[in-house]
Amino acid sequence: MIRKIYILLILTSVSCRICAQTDEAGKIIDKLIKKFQLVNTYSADVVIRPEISFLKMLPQKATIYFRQPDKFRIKTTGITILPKQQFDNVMNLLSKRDSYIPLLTSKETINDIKLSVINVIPVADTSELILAKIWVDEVRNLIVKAQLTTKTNGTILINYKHGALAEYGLPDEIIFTVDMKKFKVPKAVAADINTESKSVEEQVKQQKPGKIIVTIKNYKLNIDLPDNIFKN
Amino acid sequence: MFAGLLYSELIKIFSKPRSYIGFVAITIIVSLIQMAMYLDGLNYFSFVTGPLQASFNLEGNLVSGNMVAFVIIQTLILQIPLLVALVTGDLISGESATGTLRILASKPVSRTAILFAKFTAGLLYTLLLLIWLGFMSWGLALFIFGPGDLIVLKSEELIILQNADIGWRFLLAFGISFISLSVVATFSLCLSCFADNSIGPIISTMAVIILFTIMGTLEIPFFDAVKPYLFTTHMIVWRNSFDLPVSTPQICTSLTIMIAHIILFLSVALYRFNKKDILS
Repeated sequence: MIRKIYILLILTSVSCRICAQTDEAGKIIDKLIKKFQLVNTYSADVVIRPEISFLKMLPQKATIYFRQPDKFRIKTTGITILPKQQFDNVMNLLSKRDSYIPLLTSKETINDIKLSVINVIPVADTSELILAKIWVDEVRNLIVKAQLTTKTNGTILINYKHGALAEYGLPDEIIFTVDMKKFKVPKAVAADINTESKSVEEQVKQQKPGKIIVTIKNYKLNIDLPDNIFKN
Repeated sequence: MFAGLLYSELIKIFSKPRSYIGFVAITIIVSLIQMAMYLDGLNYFSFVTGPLQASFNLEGNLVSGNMVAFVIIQTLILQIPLLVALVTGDLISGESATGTLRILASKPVSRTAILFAKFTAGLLYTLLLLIWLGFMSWGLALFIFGPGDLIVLKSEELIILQNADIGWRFLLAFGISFISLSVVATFSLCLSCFADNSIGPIISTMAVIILFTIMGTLEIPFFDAVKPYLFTTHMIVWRNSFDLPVSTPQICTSLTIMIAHIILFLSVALYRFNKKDILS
C-alpha cells in the first residue's frame, strides 16, 4: 500500500513538473508570437552566400517579401540556392499553437547570454517535422538558434543574428547549416570526360555540413504588398 | 600571290556540297535541341540538378538562354571535329584524287605556299563553322529563352555563374574551341598529304579522335600516363572557361600543348607535301 502511494506521488510530481515546463515554454512562445505579429508585412534586400563544398557560386542578391500569417516570397533575377526550410519556417511553425507541445528542457548560457531551450514536439505523427529545438533569449525575447529535425531533409541548424530590428524579432543575418548528401552524377550525364575523380579525402570533405549565410538589410515594415508578389 | 592562292582555295572549299554538310547538320541538330528544351527543358534541368535539390531549393529561372547554349555546345563539341575533318581531310588528297594537284603544283608558287594557303583556308572554314555554331546555339538560345544564370554541371561539382559574368566566358570558350578544332584541321590536313583519296584521311581522323576520347574517358591506370599527351584531352579545356575562378594555368598549358600539336602536324605535312611525288 505504501509502495503504491509512493509511486503515485512520484507520478504526480513528474506530471506536475512536465505541466509546469509546458506552461513556462508556452508563455515564452506566446511572447515570441506576440512580437512576431507586430509586423504585418515586410520586404528586405538579402545577400545569399552558400558555403557548400561541391558548389561554387558568387553571393546572390535577392528581395524577400513577407505577409502575415505565412505568405513568403523570394525574388531574384538569377538562380538562388536556399535550404528546404525557408526563412520564416520557425516562426511559421510556432504560430500554429495547437499543432505542437512545447517543453522547456533546460537553460544554457552561450556567449554570456542566458538562453531557454525549448523542445517543440508536433502533435500529429504525420507531420514532416520530427522535433524542433529552439534557444530563446528571454531578456530580449528573441530566438537565437533553432534546430529542426525532419523526416526527409535531415537536421538543419539555424543561427540568427539580430541588430537594429531586434525589437520586432527580425534578424540581420541567418546562417543555415544543413546535412549534405554526397553529390555525384554520372560523367556521361555531366559530359565531364577526361577529368579525374576526387580523392577519398576530398569526397569526405564534400560530405561536411553545408552552410548558407543570408545577410538581410533595408527592411521595410508594414508596407502594402499586393497579392501578385506572392504568386509564382 | 598568297592572297590569290587563299582565295582560290576558299572558292574550291565552298564550291563543294560536302562543305555545307557541317552547317546543315549544326542547323538541324541545334534547332531540334532548342525545340526540345523549349518544350521540356525544365524537366531536363530538374533531372541534372536533382542531387542538389535533394538538400536545397533552387529558386529562379533554370532554363535560360545561357544554360541551353552551354548544353548544346557541350553536346556538339565532340561531333564538330568530325565536320571539320570532312573538309580539311580533303584539301590535298581530294585534289590528288581528281588530278588537279599536279596542275596546282606546276604553278610558279612554292609547295610551301600552296600548303599554307590550304591550311589558312581550312582554318577560315573552321572559324566560320564555329561562328555558325555560336550564332545558332548561343545567339538563338538567348533570343528564345532570354538571358539568365548558368549552372555548370560536373560529375562531382556544381558551378552557378551569374548572367553578367557569362558573356566573356562564352567568347573565351569559343576562342579555345577554335584552337582545338584547328588541331583537328591540321591533323587531317597532315593525313591528307599521305593519301590519294579523301576517305582515308577523313575516316582516320575520326578514328583517332574516337580512340583518344575513349582512352581519355576510361579510368584505367594504364592510360593515365598517356592521357596528358593526347590532344583530345586538351580539346575540352574550353569548359574551364566556366570555372569559378577560371583555371588560367590549366588553360594556358592546354593551349600550349594544342599549339605544339598544330606546329608538329603542320611541319610533318610540309615535309611530306614538299617531298611528295605527284604522279597524277
